[in-house]
Amino acid sequence: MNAKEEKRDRIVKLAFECRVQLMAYAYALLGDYSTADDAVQDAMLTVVKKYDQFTEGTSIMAWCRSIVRLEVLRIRQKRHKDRTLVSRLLEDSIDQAFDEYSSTESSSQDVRRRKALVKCLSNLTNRGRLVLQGRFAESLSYEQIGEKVGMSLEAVRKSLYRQKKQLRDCVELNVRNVE
Amino acid sequence: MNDKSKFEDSKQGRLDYLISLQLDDELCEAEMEELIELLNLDPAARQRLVANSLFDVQLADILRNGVCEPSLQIRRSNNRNLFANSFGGVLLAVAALILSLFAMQWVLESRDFGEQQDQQIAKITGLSGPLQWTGNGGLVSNELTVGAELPGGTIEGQSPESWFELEFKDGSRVVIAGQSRLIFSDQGQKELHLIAGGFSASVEPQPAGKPMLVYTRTAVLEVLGTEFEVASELASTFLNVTEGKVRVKRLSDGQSLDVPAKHRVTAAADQLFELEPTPETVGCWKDRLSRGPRGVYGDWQPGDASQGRKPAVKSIPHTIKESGKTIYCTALRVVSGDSPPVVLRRDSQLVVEGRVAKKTKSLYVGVTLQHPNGDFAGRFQIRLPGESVTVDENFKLDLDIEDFTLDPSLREIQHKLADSPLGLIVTDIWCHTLWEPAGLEIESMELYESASAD
Repeated sequence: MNAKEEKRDRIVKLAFECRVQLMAYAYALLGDYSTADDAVQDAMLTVVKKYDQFTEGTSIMAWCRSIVRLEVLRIRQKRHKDRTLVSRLLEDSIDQAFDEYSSTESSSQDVRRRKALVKCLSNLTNRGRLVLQGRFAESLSYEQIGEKVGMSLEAVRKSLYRQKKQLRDCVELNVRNVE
Repeated sequence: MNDKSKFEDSKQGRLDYLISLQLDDELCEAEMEELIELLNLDPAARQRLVANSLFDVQLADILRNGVCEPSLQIRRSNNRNLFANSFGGVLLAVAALILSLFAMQWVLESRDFGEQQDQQIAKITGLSGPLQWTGNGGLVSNELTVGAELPGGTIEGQSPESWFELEFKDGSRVVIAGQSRLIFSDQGQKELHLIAGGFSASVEPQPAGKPMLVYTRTAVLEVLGTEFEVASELASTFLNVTEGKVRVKRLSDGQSLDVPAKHRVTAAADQLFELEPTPETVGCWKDRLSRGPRGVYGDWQPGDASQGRKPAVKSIPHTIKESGKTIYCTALRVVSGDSPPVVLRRDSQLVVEGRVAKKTKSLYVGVTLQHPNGDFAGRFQIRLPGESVTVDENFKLDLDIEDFTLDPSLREIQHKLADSPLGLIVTDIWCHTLWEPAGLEIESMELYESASAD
């Protein structure tokens, strides 16, 4: 393997390690997991193509995030989705939030959190789990989830919020107890 | 208590609720405005947004893939999960990713990455200091040159010495100086997003119904044709209009103001939103290091009264890509929306107090200056021999501004810059050592006029 290939592999590996944060960033901007996944995958293709433009020693996260941001814009343009002034400003605020964020969590804490989340999911009611499944695994709209589980649109909206809150609280409690 | 009031019962609950809706793309405009305000005013809210987004991604990963680690699934090639789930499989996974991505080269070739087809909208007419431009498809460049045409993108000044001038096709000019980040585009209507720092602009008359729009975190500016400067902080936007008129809308309450020439305004949720005539210039200025790290470039230290240590700012390194050499720099922002412009006069003196932890060959002290209309006027500096300061002892330098000369790195654009620092407005004062970490720490900076001191 020559030096160029080694650099490419190194950078792609680093970019891959940023995947969860990049997904969270794209998700926060697009409001849909599948579309966010597309944006991050396209960004990874760009990383592979343009790895030589990354200056090693600078922030791979910042570089990848700027690529994801452009992919998000491209997806929006493709879908001719109108962006209002307020939505653009919200995007700037989201951008700023991710700019400032630096994770202090170790990979072992991350694994612990993931295990706790799996455990907490098993505590949910069947209906609650179906609502989450519909939204996160099947990318259904609130309306489609409502039809599937027999709930009004407003009830789906609140149920999603409540299930996630319950899960977050449960994970925090579990992680704290382990620590 | 009904459901709605339960949600609104706590600020945190309300924030989580709004974030949850944003992550489901279900926010209405009023809720978006509410979320923007919460995010802009509170760093903890911004952290919460990131934490909740990360949580939702983990949740989706688990609901889609079971308990396995997150992975990249290349759907276009109809491959199933390409990567092993164990930690030890990551390297293999990356190799698999590379192989599969190269197999998909046709996808890359067929896609419009854009840079060849991008319409160039503006050209660089001046630059200096470390800058980074990010264009379409994530193209990143630190090697910008005067005359190069750009298709839009993000320009970022990476240190207090950074300066960048851009001219749009219609002759409108935008200048960023210092640590600033600006997204610029022109798809029939110019749009600028000021993410951090500030810029000045001289805008030619814009087409009817398509004013230049400038977005900051707290305001939106509509510009038809004028000269102005704008600076954005986390919770406020400062606008100073030199010529013409700019309409500014404060986002926290939707109020608008038309700002005429020689007037300024600060748009912030917690301040009066009213016009103020641009104040007369002053010749004196004193740092505000005791009030916190606002406007500081460097590592701000709070100080310790019990040990007699004042608040200070430690130099931080910046490596110049071309030479691989490093500047250790501190800088303080002088220009601000809540104080009058500070001008250098014949009898201006600059006092700098601080210390160094190691011997240094030279110490550089300088000022970054602008013209009254906000245009960059240059950086002027003085080079002091290392013997001027003693290691581990506090130093106090009283410097005559008339001894300051143009920073040699600006020689190529000398014709565009001022001949002398006198009569110009100070935007930043900086102090640095070159190539070696001397542990430079600045405790105080002050400008005064020797005549008035007498």
